[in-house]
Amino acid sequence: MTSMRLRIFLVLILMTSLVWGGSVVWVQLQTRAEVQRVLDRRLMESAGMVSSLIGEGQVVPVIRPPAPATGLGDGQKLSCQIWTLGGDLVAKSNSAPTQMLATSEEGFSQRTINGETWRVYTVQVPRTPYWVMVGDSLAVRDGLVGSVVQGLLLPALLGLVVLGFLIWGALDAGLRPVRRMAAALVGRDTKTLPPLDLPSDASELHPVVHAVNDLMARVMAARQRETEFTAAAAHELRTPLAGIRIQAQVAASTSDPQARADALKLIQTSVDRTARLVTNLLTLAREDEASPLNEGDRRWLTLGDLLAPLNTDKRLQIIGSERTLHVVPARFELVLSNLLTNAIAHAHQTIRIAIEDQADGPVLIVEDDGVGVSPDELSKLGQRFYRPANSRSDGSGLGLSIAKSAVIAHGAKLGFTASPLGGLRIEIHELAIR
Amino acid sequence: MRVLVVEDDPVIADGLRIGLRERGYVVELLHTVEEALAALETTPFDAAILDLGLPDGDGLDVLRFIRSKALDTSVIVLTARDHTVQRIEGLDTGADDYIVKPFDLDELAARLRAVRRRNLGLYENFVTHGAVKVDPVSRQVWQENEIMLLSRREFDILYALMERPSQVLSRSQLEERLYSWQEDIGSNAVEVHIHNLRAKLGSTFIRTVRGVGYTLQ
Repeated sequence: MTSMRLRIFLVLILMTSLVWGGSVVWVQLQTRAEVQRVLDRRLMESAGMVSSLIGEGQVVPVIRPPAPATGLGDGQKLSCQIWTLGGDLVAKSNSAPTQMLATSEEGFSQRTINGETWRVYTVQVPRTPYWVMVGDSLAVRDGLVGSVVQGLLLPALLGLVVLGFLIWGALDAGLRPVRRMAAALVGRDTKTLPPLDLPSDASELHPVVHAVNDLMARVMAARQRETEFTAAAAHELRTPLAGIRIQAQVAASTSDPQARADALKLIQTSVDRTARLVTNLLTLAREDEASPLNEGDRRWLTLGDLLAPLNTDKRLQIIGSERTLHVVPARFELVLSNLLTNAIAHAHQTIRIAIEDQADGPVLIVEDDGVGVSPDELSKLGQRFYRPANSRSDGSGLGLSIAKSAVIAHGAKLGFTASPLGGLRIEIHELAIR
Repeated sequence: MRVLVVEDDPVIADGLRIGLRERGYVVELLHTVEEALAALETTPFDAAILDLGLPDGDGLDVLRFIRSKALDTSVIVLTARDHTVQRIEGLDTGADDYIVKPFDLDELAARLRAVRRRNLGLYENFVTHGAVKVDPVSRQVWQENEIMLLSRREFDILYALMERPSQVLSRSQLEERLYSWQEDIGSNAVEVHIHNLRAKLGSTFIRTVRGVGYTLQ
């Protein structure tokens, strides 16, 4: 894990160094070329000057034994030699070596004498048998270029260090909103997950803050639902367990055989009720996880076929059993079985399952002639663990929730109204029915 | 001790009715807030066990009624919700204690005795008057360190009188503490039990206040 600040810093420093390094190389090449040109020109001019002195007869070279080279070491200066065409050294400047600086050819040449490389311009004095050779040491030239480049490099390096500090500081200031946001995220109360403030100095972070706040709001809502559901489930599970516990204690402690028999009977009833509740809780949990359903699993099945495994009550009337529904059989069975169980539990004489063609298309209807549900209670039907006041007491309060969940998974809508038969009427709209 | 139980779950309610009766309590079982308020208007109860989630309201409504009328009724809240918030709300509303479902009948009975003791300002279960000592847990009675054998009703009458030694309890007050509404009371049942108690504990231990009722010597 690397820090964003360190990475940006390194990238910036590397880029700056590359650009500056490149320009140093370019400056060096340019300087070298320029120095070469200027110094070459000086060689030519000097050679021309000496040559003209000899050519015009103002200076007459006389062959003498060459004076010993005194100042080879201080060869910083321009060196000059005058040779006869025959190869005798006529004259040389103080700094020049005794060996011939160049081969006897006109123009520029380079030669290494005693480990020192010379750049030499050779010219033959017109109408005379003399060569004039003027040269200077390449090391001197390189030194010249070197000092120019050095003069450039030093401030560049210093500048790089200063720039480094400046970039580091700028990054520190620039990344402050990010650090502030990180601190706000870490230091937040994990129970309430309050939304983050929008940083006024970093609009780039707004999408992140919006996304995080949106997510947190959804997490909180989900957590809230879960807490409510868990509390309700705990209540619903504890009640029958308390019944079992207390009846078991009565059965164990009573001396009355009838009371013991009654208690044992009640324990059985409560265990059955608890088992039903647990089954429904698990079904609901699975139904929640399973949604949305896989469209490829849908089949066209007739209402009659769908009801065949469930049709157990003599009071049940089916209208339109030949109509076909486009559903996932395993999931839609949850709808029919729960609605049917509910209707059977509340009906007096009649339970009706029908497909009616209404303005918005075919509608699946399950209704009964029971006592029904009051208008203000209708809106609460389908909520988990909600049981209307006059509902049968052994229901789990989850059947309609399961049915509703499975109906929604099918892309349809579940509605509750009063039935003309007198009881509850459940309509499923927008289901694919032919 | 006469206890009002307000619980809508039939299995728990039935268990409380039988279980508490076998532990020596007179139990009145009701299922709704409305019934409970009506009963409290007319009948004194030593204690009430209130379930919170009732079909027509909340057990706390009954609790508020008891406190607003300043009734001498100890209240235990029975709840399937164990969130601290709800327990705090229950206690702050004036409950003497709460118990979370599922619970133990013997624990509930002990808590009933405990809240009752607290309301009467007692520090131990034993109640002593003169040479007579009563233990409501084991339902035993001693006189001069000798165990006395009393019937259930005789014990209840003696305990009721000994709980409030300075008060005079009328016949109907004693009947209310002894019998639930379902039970048939003989017209002179209380007199018969008092007569038997005097035979066992000595004729002067229980005094008759003419035209008012009974109290201890």
